[in-house]
Amino acid sequence: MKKRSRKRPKPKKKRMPFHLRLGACGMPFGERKCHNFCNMTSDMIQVFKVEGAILDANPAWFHALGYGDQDLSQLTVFHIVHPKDKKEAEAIFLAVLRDGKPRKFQGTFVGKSGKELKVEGAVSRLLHRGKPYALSGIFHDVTRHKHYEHLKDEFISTVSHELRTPLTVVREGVSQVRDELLGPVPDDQKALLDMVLQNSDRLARIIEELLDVSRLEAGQVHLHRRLCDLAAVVREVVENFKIIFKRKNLEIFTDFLPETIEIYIDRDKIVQILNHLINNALKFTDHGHIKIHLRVREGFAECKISDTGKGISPKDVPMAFQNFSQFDREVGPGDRGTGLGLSICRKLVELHHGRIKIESVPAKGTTATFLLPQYTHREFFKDAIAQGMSCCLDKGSPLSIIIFDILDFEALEKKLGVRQMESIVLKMEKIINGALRRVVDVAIKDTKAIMVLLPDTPRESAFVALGRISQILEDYLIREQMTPGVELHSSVVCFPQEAKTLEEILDRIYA
Amino acid sequence: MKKILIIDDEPQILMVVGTRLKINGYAVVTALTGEQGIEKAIKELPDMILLDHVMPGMDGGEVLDCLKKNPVTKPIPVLMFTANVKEVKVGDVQRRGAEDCLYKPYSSEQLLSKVKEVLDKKS
Repeated sequence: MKKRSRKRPKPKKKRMPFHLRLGACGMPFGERKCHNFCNMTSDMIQVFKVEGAILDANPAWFHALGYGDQDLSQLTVFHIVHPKDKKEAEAIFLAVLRDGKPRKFQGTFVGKSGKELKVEGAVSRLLHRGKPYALSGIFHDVTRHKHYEHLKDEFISTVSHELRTPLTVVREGVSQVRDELLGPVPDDQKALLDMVLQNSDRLARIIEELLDVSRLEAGQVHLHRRLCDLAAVVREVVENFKIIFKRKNLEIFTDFLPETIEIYIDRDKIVQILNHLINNALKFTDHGHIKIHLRVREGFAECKISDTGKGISPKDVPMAFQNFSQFDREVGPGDRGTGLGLSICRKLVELHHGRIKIESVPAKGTTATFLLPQYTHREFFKDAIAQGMSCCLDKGSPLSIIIFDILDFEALEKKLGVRQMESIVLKMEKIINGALRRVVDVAIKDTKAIMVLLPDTPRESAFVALGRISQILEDYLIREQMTPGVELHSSVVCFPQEAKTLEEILDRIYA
Repeated sequence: MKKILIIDDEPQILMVVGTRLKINGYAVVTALTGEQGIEKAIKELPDMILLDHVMPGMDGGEVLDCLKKNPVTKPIPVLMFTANVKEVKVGDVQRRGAEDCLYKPYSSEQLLSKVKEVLDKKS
């Protein structure tokens, strides 16, 4: 019998409605699941053209913003985005449309009644027949979360400020009695007053560290990185500890290879990390020594602080970086920590894009190791601009960048030599950093250029700074008898006024 | 005897800091508000001023600007003291004309060494 081969007609492909085509947002679902997801999620989903026309949205979007189906045809995405976020949103939409890479968006949406919603989400590109067609955005309403975050920050900040003044009075008052400024004090009472002083110091430390943790968690700590010799920083910190080591009868060994490690770091933050780690080592070591190793490995500077103390039990090691984690506390008097130190250290190391770990063997000792990336000038250049942009975006303020180029650099390098040119650029970087008036401003050198980052600075003010710095540099070149010969060219780029993305800024700098 | 003017809105701070300084051989003048502090600075011409940062009315920053604008009080060194560790930076107050910044709570050793440092620098 002849087998009947009946071809089943292929089902006609239905054109998917817009709100189902959200595969570009990275949802690994089938069509139906995707449809259900869009309808059921509490996140707002919208599909829109880059010029602004909204093509479709999910029920959560309509519910949160108070619009109905009938409103959609008259709406653009710029009716929804708060005017203060419009420029940033435009820049993000254009960038996503251009390269297809999804990007984060944080800002404020305005509903039909004028109600403002703080949102966080991502925007991605939708293709139609292989060509960029529209954008899709998924946003989460974080209004309440932001409000609580603000309340928490304000609370911790106010409380810690309000606690410090009475603490000063307590500390100073007790200290005056203890120092017998008001009359003789018997020894047993002195011991009691010493206890009060120790505990008021501990309270001050807790307040300080609580404030640090709160700011780090809220993303309010920004680094002010400069090119520093890490070995010199470690040496200085160790020097300050020498008296305490001597008092405890402990030895301290240092081993730095190479002797100088030039790296872009926020010096104060690295000192804070070192102080915490060395203090910890001191606290848990009664006999033996503490060793500090400094090495350069595979693009990282590695700092190891190991002790011969009592160690941490293996089950406790993974918890070492959690807030308020304290191990093997002994009953009775002694140095008490706050349990926040290691958590602060980890957050500060991570802000530097580094890593930190703890290894420990009970009764043998503990080793804390942190690694910091050794960026090339160009990598650091890029990272510093990205960080500056994100700070300014948070505040809604402009970022100006002044670029100083040395004209005919290659010819000069041939004439004066690579070393001489390197030292000229380095010296100029130092001079500019010395001339900058705010802590947040920074000058960073590339091979043949120096970039000056001026956060919260509009273009006009950047030109004022440019005039002042140019004069100082000219004076330096004349003083060193390098003119005529070394000539400078300068320019200013302002974000977001002239360049809206990191790529655009870099294009302008290297043009 | 060196004369020190302390400006702080907390009377208890004026008392404990004043006592510590007097016992260590300084003459002390106090003021409870920024406005009163400026008046006393002009009248008493102290050798240095200890100035609190957060105060109702004129705050420490405004008082500092006012002192540094007046040619009579401009040469008097100012040591700021504040509980606001995160907001008030040494570099920022130095740019506004202060010598240094002392953060609360401080120990008596810190207070005395900073005061000595500032007075030595002046002389």
